[in-house]
Amino acid sequence: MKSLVVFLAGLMIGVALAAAILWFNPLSGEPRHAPVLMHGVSADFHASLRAEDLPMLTHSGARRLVMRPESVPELWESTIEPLDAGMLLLRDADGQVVGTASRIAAAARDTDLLQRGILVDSSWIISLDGVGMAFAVQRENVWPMLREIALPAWFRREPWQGEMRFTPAAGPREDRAGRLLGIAGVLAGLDGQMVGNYRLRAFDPAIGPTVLEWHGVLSVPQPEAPDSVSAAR
Amino acid sequence: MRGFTRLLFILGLLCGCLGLLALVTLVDWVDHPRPRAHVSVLPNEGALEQFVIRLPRDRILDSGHASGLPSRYPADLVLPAGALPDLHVEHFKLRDREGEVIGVAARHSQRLDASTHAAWVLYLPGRGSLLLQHSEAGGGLNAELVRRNLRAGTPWDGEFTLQRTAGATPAGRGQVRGGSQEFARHGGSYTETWRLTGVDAEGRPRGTIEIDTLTVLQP
Repeated sequence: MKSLVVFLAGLMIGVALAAAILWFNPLSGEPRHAPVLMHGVSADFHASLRAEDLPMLTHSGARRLVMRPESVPELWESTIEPLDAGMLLLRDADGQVVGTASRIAAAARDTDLLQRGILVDSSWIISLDGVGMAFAVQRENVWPMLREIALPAWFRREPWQGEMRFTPAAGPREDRAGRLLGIAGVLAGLDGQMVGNYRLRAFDPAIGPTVLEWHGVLSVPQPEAPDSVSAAR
Repeated sequence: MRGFTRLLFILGLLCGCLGLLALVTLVDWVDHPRPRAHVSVLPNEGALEQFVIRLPRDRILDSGHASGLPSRYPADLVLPAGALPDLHVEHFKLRDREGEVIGVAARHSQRLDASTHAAWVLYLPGRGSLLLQHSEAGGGLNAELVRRNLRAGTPWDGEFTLQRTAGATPAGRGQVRGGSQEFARHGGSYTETWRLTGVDAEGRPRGTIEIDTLTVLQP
Protein backbone atom coordinates (compact mmCIF):
# COMPACT_ATOMS: atom_id res chain seq x y z
CA MET A 1 0.00 0.00 0.00
CA LYS A 2 2.79 2.35 0.96
CA SER A 3 4.60 1.52 -2.28
CA LEU A 4 1.50 2.40 -4.32
CA VAL A 5 1.13 5.73 -2.52
CA VAL A 6 4.80 6.55 -3.17
CA PHE A 7 4.45 5.61 -6.86
CA LEU A 8 1.27 7.69 -7.25
CA ALA A 9 2.92 10.63 -5.47
CA GLY A 10 5.83 10.39 -7.94
CA LEU A 11 3.40 10.08 -10.84
CA MET A 12 1.47 13.20 -9.85
CA ILE A 13 4.61 15.22 -9.32
CA GLY A 14 5.87 13.97 -12.71
CA VAL A 15 2.65 15.07 -14.41
CA ALA A 16 2.90 18.47 -12.70
CA LEU A 17 6.53 18.76 -13.82
CA ALA A 18 5.57 17.94 -17.43
CA ALA A 19 2.72 20.45 -17.28
CA ALA A 20 5.17 23.11 -16.07
CA ILE A 21 7.55 22.22 -18.91
CA LEU A 22 4.71 22.62 -21.41
CA TRP A 23 3.51 25.85 -19.82
CA PHE A 24 6.90 27.57 -19.85
CA ASN A 25 8.23 25.81 -22.96
CA PRO A 26 9.99 28.43 -25.11
CA LEU A 27 9.69 26.29 -28.25
CA SER A 28 5.90 26.68 -28.35
CA GLY A 29 5.81 30.28 -27.14
CA GLU A 30 5.84 33.49 -29.10
CA PRO A 31 9.22 34.23 -30.70
CA ARG A 32 10.93 37.32 -29.35
CA HIS A 33 10.90 39.09 -32.71
CA ALA A 34 8.20 39.49 -35.34
CA PRO A 35 9.17 38.38 -38.87
CA VAL A 36 11.42 40.86 -40.65
CA LEU A 37 9.60 42.46 -43.56
CA MET A 38 11.23 42.26 -46.95
CA HIS A 39 12.79 45.30 -48.57
CA GLY A 40 10.03 46.64 -50.76
CA VAL A 41 6.57 48.12 -50.40
CA SER A 42 4.38 47.55 -47.34
CA ALA A 43 0.77 48.45 -46.66
CA ASP A 44 -1.11 48.31 -43.35
CA PHE A 45 -4.75 47.45 -42.81
CA HIS A 46 -6.95 47.31 -39.75
CA ALA A 47 -9.98 45.26 -38.79
CA SER A 48 -11.55 44.03 -35.58
CA LEU A 49 -14.20 41.69 -34.23
CA ARG A 50 -16.84 44.44 -34.35
CA ALA A 51 -19.74 43.89 -36.74
CA GLU A 52 -18.66 46.95 -38.75
CA ASP A 53 -15.37 45.23 -39.53
CA LEU A 54 -16.38 41.58 -39.50
CA PRO A 55 -19.88 41.48 -41.03
CA MET A 56 -19.86 37.69 -41.45
CA LEU A 57 -18.40 34.94 -39.33
CA THR A 58 -19.59 31.37 -39.28
CA HIS A 59 -18.46 28.04 -37.84
CA SER A 60 -19.99 24.80 -36.61
CA GLY A 61 -21.92 26.50 -33.83
CA ALA A 62 -20.06 24.49 -31.19
CA ARG A 63 -17.37 27.13 -30.65
CA ARG A 64 -17.43 29.98 -28.19
CA LEU A 65 -16.99 32.60 -30.92
CA VAL A 66 -19.96 34.73 -31.93
CA MET A 67 -21.57 34.04 -35.34
CA ARG A 68 -22.98 36.81 -37.49
CA PRO A 69 -25.24 37.83 -39.03
CA GLU A 70 -27.87 35.99 -37.04
CA SER A 71 -29.18 34.00 -40.00
CA VAL A 72 -25.79 32.96 -41.42
CA PRO A 73 -25.72 29.21 -42.22
CA GLU A 74 -23.72 27.11 -39.76
CA LEU A 75 -20.96 24.81 -40.95
CA TRP A 76 -22.70 21.91 -39.22
CA GLU A 77 -21.70 19.05 -41.54
CA SER A 78 -19.17 16.76 -39.83
CA THR A 79 -16.74 17.10 -42.74
CA ILE A 80 -16.50 20.89 -42.43
CA GLU A 81 -17.06 21.19 -38.69
CA PRO A 82 -13.34 22.09 -38.08
CA LEU A 83 -13.57 25.20 -40.30
CA ASP A 84 -14.52 28.78 -39.64
CA ALA A 85 -15.10 31.31 -42.38
CA GLY A 86 -15.35 35.06 -42.22
CA MET A 87 -15.49 38.21 -44.28
CA LEU A 88 -13.54 41.22 -43.06
CA LEU A 89 -13.69 44.82 -44.17
CA LEU A 90 -10.18 46.26 -44.35
CA ARG A 91 -9.65 49.83 -43.24
CA ASP A 92 -6.74 52.19 -43.76
CA ALA A 93 -5.18 54.34 -41.05
CA ASP A 94 -8.02 56.88 -41.44
CA GLY A 95 -10.65 54.23 -40.83
CA GLN A 96 -11.90 54.23 -44.43
CA VAL A 97 -12.96 50.88 -45.91
CA VAL A 98 -10.43 50.20 -48.68
CA GLY A 99 -10.95 46.51 -49.30
CA THR A 100 -12.28 43.23 -48.11
CA ALA A 101 -10.87 39.85 -47.20
CA SER A 102 -12.28 36.35 -46.95
CA ARG A 103 -10.60 34.09 -44.43
CA ILE A 104 -11.16 30.35 -44.04
CA ALA A 105 -9.31 28.71 -41.17
CA ALA A 106 -8.88 25.45 -39.27
CA ALA A 107 -6.61 24.12 -36.54
CA ALA A 108 -3.46 22.69 -38.14
CA ARG A 109 -3.05 18.92 -38.10
CA ASP A 110 0.59 19.19 -37.01
CA THR A 111 -0.29 21.11 -33.86
CA ASP A 112 2.24 19.98 -31.24
CA LEU A 113 2.32 21.66 -27.85
CA LEU A 114 5.85 20.45 -27.14
CA GLN A 115 7.59 21.78 -30.24
CA ARG A 116 5.35 24.12 -32.25
CA GLY A 117 2.38 25.29 -30.19
CA ILE A 118 -1.30 25.32 -31.13
CA LEU A 119 -1.34 26.18 -34.79
CA VAL A 120 -4.13 27.61 -36.91
CA ASP A 121 -3.89 27.51 -40.72
CA SER A 122 -5.81 30.07 -42.72
CA SER A 123 -6.22 30.89 -46.38
CA TRP A 124 -7.30 34.32 -47.54
CA ILE A 125 -8.46 36.23 -50.58
CA ILE A 126 -7.67 39.92 -50.17
CA SER A 127 -9.28 42.44 -52.51
CA LEU A 128 -8.23 46.07 -52.34
CA ASP A 129 -10.75 48.29 -54.07
CA GLY A 130 -9.38 49.48 -57.42
CA VAL A 131 -5.84 48.42 -56.46
CA GLY A 132 -5.41 44.68 -56.68
CA MET A 133 -6.13 41.21 -55.39
CA ALA A 134 -3.99 38.63 -53.63
CA PHE A 135 -4.11 35.26 -51.95
CA ALA A 136 -2.53 34.73 -48.54
CA VAL A 137 -1.70 31.48 -46.79
CA GLN A 138 -0.92 31.85 -43.13
CA ARG A 139 -0.06 29.77 -40.09
CA GLU A 140 -0.38 31.26 -36.61
CA ASN A 141 0.45 29.95 -33.15
CA VAL A 142 -2.34 30.86 -30.74
CA TRP A 143 -0.86 29.06 -27.71
CA PRO A 144 0.69 32.21 -26.10
CA MET A 145 -2.71 33.96 -26.18
CA LEU A 146 -4.49 30.88 -24.83
CA ARG A 147 -1.90 30.41 -22.09
CA GLU A 148 -1.77 34.00 -20.90
CA ILE A 149 -5.39 35.09 -21.30
CA ALA A 150 -7.89 32.41 -22.26
CA LEU A 151 -6.96 29.53 -19.93
CA PRO A 152 -6.73 31.74 -16.79
CA ALA A 153 -10.07 33.39 -17.72
CA TRP A 154 -11.75 30.01 -18.25
CA PHE A 155 -10.24 28.66 -15.05
CA ARG A 156 -11.39 31.65 -12.96
CA ARG A 157 -14.65 32.02 -14.93
CA GLU A 158 -14.10 35.74 -14.97
CA PRO A 159 -13.90 38.12 -17.94
CA TRP A 160 -10.46 39.59 -18.62
CA GLN A 161 -9.74 43.17 -19.54
CA GLY A 162 -6.39 44.71 -20.27
CA GLU A 163 -4.12 44.85 -23.25
CA MET A 164 -2.11 42.09 -24.85
CA ARG A 165 -0.30 42.55 -28.14
CA PHE A 166 0.85 39.50 -30.00
CA THR A 167 2.20 38.52 -33.40
CA PRO A 168 1.48 34.81 -33.74
CA ALA A 169 3.13 34.41 -37.17
CA ALA A 170 4.36 30.84 -37.67
CA GLY A 171 4.72 30.45 -41.42
CA PRO A 172 4.54 28.97 -43.92
CA ARG A 173 7.48 31.11 -45.15
CA GLU A 174 10.85 30.38 -43.59
CA ASP A 175 10.88 33.85 -41.99
CA ARG A 176 7.58 32.81 -40.27
CA ALA A 177 5.52 35.33 -42.23
CA GLY A 178 2.47 34.24 -44.18
CA ARG A 179 2.83 33.88 -47.93
CA LEU A 180 1.18 36.50 -50.13
CA LEU A 181 0.54 35.64 -53.80
CA GLY A 182 -0.55 38.50 -56.05
CA ILE A 183 -3.47 37.87 -58.41
CA ALA A 184 -4.31 41.09 -60.21
CA GLY A 185 -3.78 44.85 -60.32
CA VAL A 186 -0.58 46.21 -58.81
CA LEU A 187 -0.10 42.96 -56.88
CA ALA A 188 -0.25 40.72 -59.99
CA GLY A 189 2.47 38.09 -59.98
CA LEU A 190 4.17 39.34 -56.81
CA ASP A 191 5.29 36.94 -54.08
CA GLY A 192 5.31 38.66 -50.71
CA GLN A 193 4.62 38.45 -46.99
CA MET A 194 1.59 38.86 -44.78
CA VAL A 195 1.89 39.32 -41.03
CA GLY A 196 -1.02 39.70 -38.62
CA ASN A 197 -0.53 41.68 -35.41
CA TYR A 198 -3.25 41.50 -32.79
CA ARG A 199 -4.28 43.61 -29.83
CA LEU A 200 -6.57 41.82 -27.41
CA ARG A 201 -8.36 44.10 -24.96
CA ALA A 202 -11.18 41.99 -23.54
CA PHE A 203 -11.90 38.29 -23.23
CA ASP A 204 -15.09 36.70 -22.01
CA PRO A 205 -14.87 33.05 -20.89
CA ALA A 206 -18.34 32.39 -22.38
CA ILE A 207 -17.81 33.82 -25.88
CA GLY A 208 -14.04 34.21 -26.28
CA PRO A 209 -12.33 37.41 -27.42
CA THR A 210 -14.73 40.36 -27.34
CA VAL A 211 -12.41 43.27 -28.17
CA LEU A 212 -9.75 42.12 -30.60
CA GLU A 213 -8.08 44.35 -33.14
CA TRP A 214 -6.18 43.01 -36.14
CA HIS A 215 -3.46 44.95 -37.89
CA GLY A 216 -2.34 43.23 -41.06
CA VAL A 217 0.82 44.13 -42.93
CA LEU A 218 1.20 43.13 -46.56
CA SER A 219 4.70 43.43 -47.93
CA VAL A 220 5.85 42.85 -51.51
CA PRO A 221 9.20 43.28 -53.26
CA GLN A 222 9.83 46.67 -54.81
CA PRO A 223 8.57 46.47 -58.41
CA GLU A 224 11.36 47.04 -60.90
CA ALA A 225 11.32 50.51 -62.43
CA PRO A 226 10.71 50.39 -66.22
CA ASP A 227 14.07 52.15 -66.81
CA SER A 228 16.06 49.54 -64.87
CA VAL A 229 14.21 46.72 -66.68
CA SER A 230 15.08 48.11 -70.10
CA ALA A 231 18.66 48.82 -68.98
CA ALA A 232 19.03 45.21 -67.83
CA ARG A 233 17.89 44.03 -71.23
CA MET B 1 13.67 -0.72 1.86
CA ARG B 2 14.30 3.01 1.66
CA GLY B 3 16.16 2.50 -1.65
CA PHE B 4 13.18 0.60 -3.07
CA THR B 5 10.78 3.39 -2.05
CA ARG B 6 13.03 5.99 -3.65
CA LEU B 7 13.17 3.91 -6.82
CA LEU B 8 9.38 3.67 -6.91
CA PHE B 9 9.06 7.43 -6.47
CA ILE B 10 11.51 8.14 -9.29
CA LEU B 11 9.78 5.58 -11.49
CA GLY B 12 6.41 7.27 -10.83
CA LEU B 13 7.96 10.68 -11.51
CA LEU B 14 9.40 9.52 -14.83
CA CYS B 15 6.17 7.77 -15.83
CA GLY B 16 4.13 10.89 -15.06
CA CYS B 17 6.49 13.35 -16.73
CA LEU B 18 7.42 11.34 -19.82
CA GLY B 19 3.90 9.93 -20.12
CA LEU B 20 2.30 13.36 -20.36
CA LEU B 21 4.96 14.67 -22.74
CA ALA B 22 4.57 11.56 -24.93
CA LEU B 23 0.78 11.94 -24.84
CA VAL B 24 1.04 15.55 -25.96
CA THR B 25 3.52 14.73 -28.72
CA LEU B 26 2.34 11.42 -30.10
CA VAL B 27 -1.43 11.78 -30.03
CA ASP B 28 -2.99 13.56 -33.02
CA TRP B 29 -5.03 16.16 -31.21
CA VAL B 30 -6.22 17.65 -34.45
CA ASP B 31 -7.59 14.97 -36.76
CA HIS B 32 -9.84 16.44 -39.42
CA PRO B 33 -12.28 14.20 -41.28
CA ARG B 34 -10.97 13.29 -44.71
CA PRO B 35 -13.68 12.06 -47.05
CA ARG B 36 -12.51 9.90 -49.96
CA ALA B 37 -11.24 12.15 -52.75
CA HIS B 38 -12.79 11.39 -56.17
CA VAL B 39 -9.67 12.02 -58.21
CA SER B 40 -8.83 10.67 -61.66
CA VAL B 41 -5.08 10.34 -62.19
CA LEU B 42 -3.76 11.03 -65.70
CA PRO B 43 -0.75 9.33 -67.35
CA ASN B 44 1.32 12.52 -66.84
CA GLU B 45 0.55 12.28 -63.09
CA GLY B 46 -1.91 15.15 -63.30
CA ALA B 47 -5.11 14.79 -61.28
CA LEU B 48 -8.64 15.65 -62.36
CA GLU B 49 -11.17 16.51 -59.68
CA GLN B 50 -14.61 18.06 -59.80
CA PHE B 51 -16.08 20.25 -57.08
CA VAL B 52 -19.77 21.14 -57.10
CA ILE B 53 -21.84 23.87 -55.43
CA ARG B 54 -25.63 23.57 -55.38
CA LEU B 55 -27.51 26.84 -55.43
CA PRO B 56 -29.17 28.20 -53.43
CA ARG B 57 -28.71 25.67 -50.60
CA ASP B 58 -24.90 25.90 -50.44
CA ARG B 59 -24.74 29.70 -50.24
CA ILE B 60 -23.17 31.01 -47.05
CA LEU B 61 -22.64 34.62 -48.08
CA ASP B 62 -23.23 36.83 -51.11
CA SER B 63 -22.31 40.50 -50.92
CA GLY B 64 -24.82 41.01 -53.76
CA HIS B 65 -24.89 43.26 -56.79
CA ALA B 66 -26.24 46.79 -56.78
CA SER B 67 -28.94 45.68 -59.25
CA GLY B 68 -30.25 43.05 -56.83
CA LEU B 69 -29.11 40.21 -59.13
CA PRO B 70 -27.71 38.28 -57.41
CA SER B 71 -29.22 39.48 -54.15
CA ARG B 72 -27.37 40.00 -50.89
CA TYR B 73 -27.37 36.95 -48.62
CA PRO B 74 -28.04 36.42 -45.74
CA ALA B 75 -30.75 39.06 -45.83
CA ASP B 76 -29.59 40.48 -42.49
CA LEU B 77 -25.99 40.93 -43.71
CA VAL B 78 -25.01 44.53 -43.09
CA LEU B 79 -22.39 46.14 -45.33
CA PRO B 80 -21.49 49.84 -45.41
CA ALA B 81 -23.66 51.65 -47.95
CA GLY B 82 -21.82 52.40 -51.17
CA ALA B 83 -18.55 50.80 -50.04
CA LEU B 84 -16.62 48.63 -52.48
CA PRO B 85 -19.08 48.84 -55.40
CA ASP B 86 -16.78 46.96 -57.79
CA LEU B 87 -16.13 44.00 -55.48
CA HIS B 88 -18.27 40.91 -55.25
CA VAL B 89 -17.69 38.40 -52.43
CA GLU B 90 -19.32 34.97 -52.14
CA HIS B 91 -18.87 32.05 -49.74
CA PHE B 92 -20.25 28.57 -50.37
CA LYS B 93 -20.25 25.07 -48.98
CA LEU B 94 -18.33 22.86 -51.39
CA ARG B 95 -19.27 19.33 -52.47
CA ASP B 96 -17.48 16.53 -54.27
CA ARG B 97 -18.92 15.07 -57.47
CA GLU B 98 -20.97 12.61 -55.37
CA GLY B 99 -22.68 15.50 -53.61
CA GLU B 100 -21.05 15.13 -50.19
CA VAL B 101 -20.08 18.39 -48.47
CA ILE B 102 -16.29 18.33 -48.24
CA GLY B 103 -15.22 21.93 -47.73
CA VAL B 104 -15.91 25.64 -47.82
CA ALA B 105 -15.13 27.98 -50.72
CA ALA B 106 -14.72 31.74 -51.00
CA ARG B 107 -14.93 33.63 -54.30
CA HIS B 108 -14.00 37.25 -54.97
CA SER B 109 -14.36 39.12 -58.22
CA GLN B 110 -13.30 42.64 -59.00
CA ARG B 111 -13.11 44.82 -62.09
CA LEU B 112 -9.52 45.99 -62.57
CA ASP B 113 -7.59 47.15 -65.63
CA ALA B 114 -10.71 46.94 -67.84
CA SER B 115 -11.30 43.26 -67.11
CA THR B 116 -12.91 41.34 -64.28
CA HIS B 117 -10.62 39.13 -62.19
CA ALA B 118 -11.92 36.32 -60.02
CA ALA B 119 -10.28 34.19 -57.36
CA TRP B 120 -11.32 31.15 -55.36
CA VAL B 121 -10.08 29.56 -52.16
CA LEU B 122 -11.31 25.97 -51.82
CA TYR B 123 -10.62 24.81 -48.25
CA LEU B 124 -10.89 21.06 -47.65
CA PRO B 125 -10.20 20.06 -44.01
CA GLY B 126 -7.64 17.29 -43.90
CA ARG B 127 -6.29 18.20 -47.35
CA GLY B 128 -5.61 21.94 -47.22
CA SER B 129 -6.57 24.83 -49.44
CA LEU B 130 -6.47 25.19 -53.20
CA LEU B 131 -6.04 28.68 -54.71
CA LEU B 132 -7.56 29.41 -58.13
CA GLN B 133 -7.62 32.55 -60.26
CA HIS B 134 -8.98 33.56 -63.63
CA SER B 135 -10.19 36.44 -65.75
CA GLU B 136 -13.94 36.49 -66.25
CA ALA B 137 -15.30 35.68 -69.68
CA GLY B 138 -17.77 38.35 -70.77
CA GLY B 139 -19.25 40.62 -68.15
CA GLY B 140 -19.82 37.97 -65.51
CA LEU B 141 -23.03 36.61 -64.06
CA ASN B 142 -24.81 39.93 -63.55
CA ALA B 143 -24.20 41.00 -67.17
CA GLU B 144 -25.56 37.65 -68.38
CA LEU B 145 -28.68 37.97 -66.22
CA VAL B 146 -29.25 41.52 -67.46
CA ARG B 147 -28.72 40.38 -71.06
CA ARG B 148 -31.57 37.91 -70.52
CA ASN B 149 -33.80 40.74 -69.31
CA LEU B 150 -33.99 39.42 -65.76
CA ARG B 151 -35.12 41.94 -63.19
CA ALA B 152 -34.78 41.83 -59.42
CA GLY B 153 -38.11 40.89 -57.87
CA THR B 154 -39.24 38.94 -60.92
CA PRO B 155 -38.76 35.18 -60.78
CA TRP B 156 -37.38 33.46 -63.88
CA ASP B 157 -37.31 29.82 -64.93
CA GLY B 158 -35.14 28.55 -67.71
CA GLU B 159 -31.74 27.09 -68.34
CA PHE B 160 -28.43 28.48 -69.34
CA THR B 161 -24.80 27.52 -68.95
CA LEU B 162 -22.07 30.07 -68.40
CA GLN B 163 -18.40 29.17 -68.43
CA ARG B 164 -16.90 31.99 -66.45
CA THR B 165 -13.21 31.17 -66.82
CA ALA B 166 -11.08 32.86 -69.45
CA GLY B 167 -7.24 33.21 -69.47
CA ALA B 168 -4.73 32.96 -67.76
CA THR B 169 -4.01 29.71 -69.62
CA PRO B 170 -5.04 28.74 -73.17
CA ALA B 171 -8.48 27.28 -73.92
CA GLY B 172 -10.27 29.53 -71.48
CA ARG B 173 -8.97 27.92 -68.34
CA GLY B 174 -8.08 29.56 -65.09
CA GLN B 175 -4.84 29.01 -63.21
CA VAL B 176 -4.21 26.87 -60.10
CA ARG B 177 -1.82 28.79 -57.81
CA GLY B 178 -0.99 26.11 -55.25
CA GLY B 179 -2.30 26.42 -51.73
CA SER B 180 -1.54 24.77 -48.42
CA GLN B 181 -0.74 21.26 -47.16
CA GLU B 182 -1.33 18.69 -49.94
CA PHE B 183 -1.82 21.46 -52.54
CA ALA B 184 1.16 23.61 -51.52
CA ARG B 185 3.24 22.58 -54.52
CA HIS B 186 0.48 22.15 -57.08
CA GLY B 187 -0.11 24.11 -60.25
CA GLY B 188 -2.48 23.45 -63.11
CA SER B 189 -5.67 24.81 -64.58
CA TYR B 190 -9.43 24.73 -64.08
CA THR B 191 -12.80 25.73 -65.46
CA GLU B 192 -15.70 27.31 -63.60
CA THR B 193 -19.10 26.57 -65.10
CA TRP B 194 -22.45 27.86 -63.85
CA ARG B 195 -25.52 25.84 -64.89
CA LEU B 196 -28.52 27.89 -63.84
CA THR B 197 -32.13 26.74 -63.90
CA GLY B 198 -33.74 29.89 -62.57
CA VAL B 199 -33.69 32.90 -60.31
CA ASP B 200 -36.28 33.34 -57.58
CA ALA B 201 -38.16 36.51 -56.67
CA GLU B 202 -35.54 37.33 -54.03
CA GLY B 203 -32.77 37.35 -56.67
CA ARG B 204 -31.28 34.01 -55.61
CA PRO B 205 -29.88 31.95 -58.50
CA ARG B 206 -30.80 28.25 -58.70
CA GLY B 207 -28.58 25.61 -60.24
CA THR B 208 -25.03 24.35 -59.84
CA ILE B 209 -21.50 25.66 -60.07
CA GLU B 210 -18.94 23.15 -61.27
CA ILE B 211 -15.23 23.66 -60.73
CA ASP B 212 -13.16 21.16 -62.70
CA THR B 213 -9.50 21.20 -61.70
CA LEU B 214 -6.50 19.66 -63.40
CA THR B 215 -3.65 19.80 -60.88
CA VAL B 216 -0.04 18.84 -61.43
CA LEU B 217 2.70 18.60 -58.82
CA GLN B 218 5.28 21.31 -59.55
CA PRO B 219 8.99 20.49 -59.42
